[in-house]
Amino acid sequence: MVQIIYVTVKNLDLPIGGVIVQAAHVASLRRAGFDAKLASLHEKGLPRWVDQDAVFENSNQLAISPDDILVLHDSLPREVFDRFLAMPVRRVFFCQNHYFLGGTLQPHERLADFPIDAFNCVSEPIAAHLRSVHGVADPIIIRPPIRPGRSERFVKKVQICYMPRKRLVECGTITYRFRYLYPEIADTPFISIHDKHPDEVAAIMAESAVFLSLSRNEGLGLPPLEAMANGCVVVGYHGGGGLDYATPENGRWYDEATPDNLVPLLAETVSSLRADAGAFAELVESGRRTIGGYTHQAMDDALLAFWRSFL
Amino acid sequence: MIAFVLAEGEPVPAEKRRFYQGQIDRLRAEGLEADLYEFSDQSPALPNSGTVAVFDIECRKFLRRHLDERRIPHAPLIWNPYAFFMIGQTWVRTSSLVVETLVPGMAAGQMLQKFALGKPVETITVSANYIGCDDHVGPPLASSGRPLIGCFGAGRLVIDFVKSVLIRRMPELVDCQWVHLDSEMPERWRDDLARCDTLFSFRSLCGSAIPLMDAMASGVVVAGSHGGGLSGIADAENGIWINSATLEIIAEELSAGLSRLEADPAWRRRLIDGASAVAKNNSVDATFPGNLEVWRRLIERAHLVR
Repeated sequence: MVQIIYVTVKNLDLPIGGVIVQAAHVASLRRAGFDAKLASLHEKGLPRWVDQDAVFENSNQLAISPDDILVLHDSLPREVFDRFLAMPVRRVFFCQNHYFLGGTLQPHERLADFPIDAFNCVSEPIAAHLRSVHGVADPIIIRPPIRPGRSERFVKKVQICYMPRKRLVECGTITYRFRYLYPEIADTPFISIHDKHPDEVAAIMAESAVFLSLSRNEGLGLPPLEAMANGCVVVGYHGGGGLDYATPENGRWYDEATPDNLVPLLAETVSSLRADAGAFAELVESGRRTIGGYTHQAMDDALLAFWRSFL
Repeated sequence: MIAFVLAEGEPVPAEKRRFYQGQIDRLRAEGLEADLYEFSDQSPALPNSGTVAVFDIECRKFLRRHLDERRIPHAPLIWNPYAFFMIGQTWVRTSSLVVETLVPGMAAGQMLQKFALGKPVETITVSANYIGCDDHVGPPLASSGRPLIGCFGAGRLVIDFVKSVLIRRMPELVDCQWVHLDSEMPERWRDDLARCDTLFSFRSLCGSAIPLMDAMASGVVVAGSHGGGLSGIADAENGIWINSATLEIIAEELSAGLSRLEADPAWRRRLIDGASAVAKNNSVDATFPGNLEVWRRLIERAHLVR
C-alpha cells in the first residue's frame, strides 16, 4: 500500500499546533484505511499531545518507495526541502502558515515552479497567497477541527480571557491602559489561557464573556474560533489568516498598527456587557454558526475527498 | 548636573546616545552641566553627588541599586511607553530618590499623567541631529537605474513575505536592490540610508522616531508603520503611512505607494518636502527650548530631594 508520510519537525517535546493538525490528518486517514504516518528525527515516538490514532515513525528507519507520497510542511530548512525534492517520490505541500514560507524560499521563488504534485492548506488567506504569489492553480483547503464548545450552560462573567504569547507588548499596553483609563470598569478580570491544558482553556472561555484576540501572522488562528465555540465576544486582531472566518458579524475585529484604539473598543465592549449581558447576543450567535466549518466531520470530508482524488 | 546614563544591555542604545548627546551639547551651551555615562558590570561608572541621573526605565535593577547606594536622585525616562507596562514600577512610586518620570511625546505624556505613578510626569521631545539633512534628495524611482529599497524594523521572515508579494505585483522589483538597515549600527545606517530611494519601515511599537526622522530629513520617502513614534505627526503629506497589522494589506499598500511614486514625481516631491518640514520642526534645535524648561524643573526637584 502507498505510504502517505507527513514530514514533521524534529523537536516534539512540547505541543505544537501545526503538528497536532498533521497528526489529526494522519489519524483520520488511518481510520479511513490509508497507510498514513508522521515521520521525523524525533526519537521518543508519538507525542502524547496528538491524536493517538496517528502513527509515528523515525525518518531514519523509514523505507520509502517511489510510489509513496511525502507531505511537506511550510517550515522546512532549505537544505531539507531540496533533499525531499530530489527524492523519486510524489510530493504534496501542506501549508499551515504562509508567513513562514520565507524560511524555505527566496522571495522571488514560486512554489508552483518546484516538482510538487498538489497543495493543501488550512485557510482561504493561505490559498489566496498560494494562488497569487506562488502560482498554485488549485490549492485545496482542509480546515482543521476545533474542540467543540462546552455543552454545559455556564453563567458568563464579564471577564476577559486572552492568549498573550503572540503580542506581549500590546497585551501589557492594553491591560494597563484599560485599568487606568477606564476606572469605572477597572475591576474587570483578565484571565490568561497561556500554557493551560485544553480542558482548562475551554472552561475559562466558557465562563468568560470576552476573548481578547492577540493573533499575529497566523495561517488560521484557532483560539478566536475556540472562543466563538464557547460563546465569547471576540475583540481584537484576526492575525491575517483569521480572515478565513472573521467578519463584522462574528467579532469586533481590529486591524491597526498600534493598539491605541483597541483599548477603547475593548472598554466599550465590557461596558456594554455590564449594562446588558445580551448586548452582543447576535454576534455571539453568529460566532457559533461560524465554527460549523471547523468540525472533525468537515475536515474528514475535505481530507478524504482530496486523497481519494489524488491517489 | 544632569547625568544621562546609558546602561549595558538596554534597548536601542545608539538611538538613545544620539538623543542624550544632543541634549548634553545644548545644555552645556546654556551653561548647565551635563554628561553621558556608560554604565556596565565591568565599569559601573557613575557621577558623584550633586547630580541627577536620567536613564531608561527599562534598565536593569543593577543600575538603580548603584544610584540608590550613592543617594543620587534620578528621573527614569519611559523611552518606550508601550513596553513600560512589561516591567515593575512600584519603585517609581516608593523610592524617595525618584524625583519625576520623563515621557517622550505629548500624547504619551498626557496618557501617563492619568496613571498612578506617584511622581510628576514630564513630557519631553526625543530628537537628534538627523543625518543627511538637506544634502540628499532621492531621485525618482523610474530614473534611478537600479532602485534601492531599505527595509527597517522587522525580521527576515516578515520582510521576505512582503518582498514576495511585491515582486509578484511589480516584477520590475526583482532587479531592485534590497538592503536591510539597522539603525543601531550608526556608520552603516548613515551610509546605507543615503543610498536609498525608499525606506520600508516596519518599526515596532515605540515612543520615538529618530531613525525615521533621519530618513525624512534625508529626502528618503518612508513607507510603512511608525510604531506609534510619530502619532499626531505622520500624515498623508509626509510619508506613505500604513495603519494595518496585516502583512497582506501592508504589502498591498506598499505596492500601490511604490507605483504612485514611480508614476507621479510631483507627489514624490511633495512627500519629500512634507517629510523634510517635519524633520525640521522636530529637530533637536527646534525642540530643545521646550526640553530645557523640563531639564530646569528636574534640577530644581533634585535639589529638593538632597
